[in-house]
Amino acid sequence: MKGFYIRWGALILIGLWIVAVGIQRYNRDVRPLTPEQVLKDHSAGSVRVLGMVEAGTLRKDTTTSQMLFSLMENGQRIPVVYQGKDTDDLRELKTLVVVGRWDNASQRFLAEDIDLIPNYGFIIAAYLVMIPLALFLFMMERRVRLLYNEIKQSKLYEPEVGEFE
Amino acid sequence: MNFFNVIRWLAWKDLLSEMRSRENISSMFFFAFIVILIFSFSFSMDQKTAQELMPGIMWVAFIFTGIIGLGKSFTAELQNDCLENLQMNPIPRGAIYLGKLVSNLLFMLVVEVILFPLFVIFFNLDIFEKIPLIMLILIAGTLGVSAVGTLFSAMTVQIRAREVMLPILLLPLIVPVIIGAVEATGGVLQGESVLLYRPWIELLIIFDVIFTIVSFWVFEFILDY
Amino acid sequence: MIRWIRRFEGWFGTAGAVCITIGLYFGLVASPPDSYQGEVVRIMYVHVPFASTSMTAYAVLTVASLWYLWKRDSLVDNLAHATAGIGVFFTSGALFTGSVWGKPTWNTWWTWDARLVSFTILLLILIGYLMLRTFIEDKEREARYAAILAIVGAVDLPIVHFSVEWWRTLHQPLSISQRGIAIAGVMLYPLIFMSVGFYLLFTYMVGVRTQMLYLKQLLEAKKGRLLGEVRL
Repeated sequence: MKGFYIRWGALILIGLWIVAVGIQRYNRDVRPLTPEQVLKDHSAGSVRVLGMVEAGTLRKDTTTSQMLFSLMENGQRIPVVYQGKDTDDLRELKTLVVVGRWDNASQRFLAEDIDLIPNYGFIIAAYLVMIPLALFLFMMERRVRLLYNEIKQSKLYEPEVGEFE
Repeated sequence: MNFFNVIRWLAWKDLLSEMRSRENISSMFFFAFIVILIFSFSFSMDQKTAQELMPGIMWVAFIFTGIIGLGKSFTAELQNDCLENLQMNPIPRGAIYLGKLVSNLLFMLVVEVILFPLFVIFFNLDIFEKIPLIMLILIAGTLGVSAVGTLFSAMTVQIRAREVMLPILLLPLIVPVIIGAVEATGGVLQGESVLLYRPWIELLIIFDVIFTIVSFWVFEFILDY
Repeated sequence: MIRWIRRFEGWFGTAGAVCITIGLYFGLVASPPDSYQGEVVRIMYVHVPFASTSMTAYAVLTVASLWYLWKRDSLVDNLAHATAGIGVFFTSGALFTGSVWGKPTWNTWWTWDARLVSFTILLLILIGYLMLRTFIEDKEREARYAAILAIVGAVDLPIVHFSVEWWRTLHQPLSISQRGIAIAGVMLYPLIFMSVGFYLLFTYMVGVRTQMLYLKQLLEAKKGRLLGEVRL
């Protein structure tokens, strides 16, 4: 029985490691900031910002053929210059994620890419199915081990004991 | 004993006992009638929607009625060890299945034939030249339900909770019959072109053939002796 | 035969765990999001293995039932029972993950297309199978009747799939296709690892559960006989 518990402990540890690595990746690649945080942090690297395209602010700059709009969330807004390729997703009153850098000089956000809202809740719900699976397997294995022990102890099979060694 | 004689004899035995007491057919008939009434009250339908939904309502009523009839056909055999006595006769096992199938089929058809005019009245259907086709669809659909149903009724009659196990086991398996019968009936009644509803009738017939053969083969494993 | 199961099940279990771990790592961490579906495509890595395993489970159940009716080996009957129980698990998991995948991708939790209906009917047949087994007291009759149910269900399922598909094309020519994803090369890795891992895990689970049922039966049989001897 001890080997059984050790094995399952190792499995749980591996599972926790995968969860940790998954969360790490999520924070690195997927989680978006809010405009408020961008204004406060002024970090230099590429970030993702979640917000709503404010009504009436979406316009095309005729000279540089870039899209300009104001991204708003919770009352805070940042001006965004979108330099990427044309996309249908860019509409007013739509909540989306812009990927790019904050340009301190012009006090504007230079966006290279537009993304849809990440919906990780669904992914987590789907993968949670593995937990009942593991639980089921755990209960079954434990039951089998206990059954073998019970048969050995009750000595019902003395002549055939070799089968259960 | 000759194979077909056995089938005839078994079906005649059931018909005779039914003709004397008439309890099965009358209860099936009234049950179906009540189901139709409840459906009519549950949905507030205008004339056009009613005519579109009518095949579905009709077949649901027929199938639930059929389940009652199927259940009763084997519970009657439980009393006085009839089932064991039947198996002790030197008759081929498949003949028992076919005999029961014929009697179940006839009971269900009788109920359906009595009920169908009621449907015509309630839903204002126009069935003038379509009666042979409707009869064909009724027979094909009922045969499908009975073929699988007789097999499962023989299985479930000997276990606990028999009234609930028969529908649970039977209904998922006759989904093709439900779809085919409803589509075919709807097509015929709405006057659509033959090409549209003929595939459904063919599906019903194929289902009947396959499942009668499969149940016939498998029936001997159900009997203990 | 049970000695074989005991000897080899460990390999299947470990191999399955390793493959699934690699698959999870690739699926959740190392692979890129899809260009159309975004991050949600990761659900595919868990949905497809569940679905294919559940279909395998039913195939194994059918074969085991036929084998039982031919040879009347009670261990094969235990195998069939085990496969049905595990099949219920994987089928409901497949339906659940499929539904969770459908909502963000196509904005529907459920649709009556052929594959979903077939899977639901499969689940209902399996649940009916387990209920039938619970309600029959006589072990030998239980095995026979359950085998018959499995075989009749196996003949029926293709017909169900076919007729629902036909019915759908008549009434709702929708363009929703659950297979409408061109699977890019990078996404193939986690999918393959997870699929193979789940097949191995399924084999392991069936082995464990078969042993459990076999031993339970053995214990009941022997104890009953022992008790009989003491009484007499």
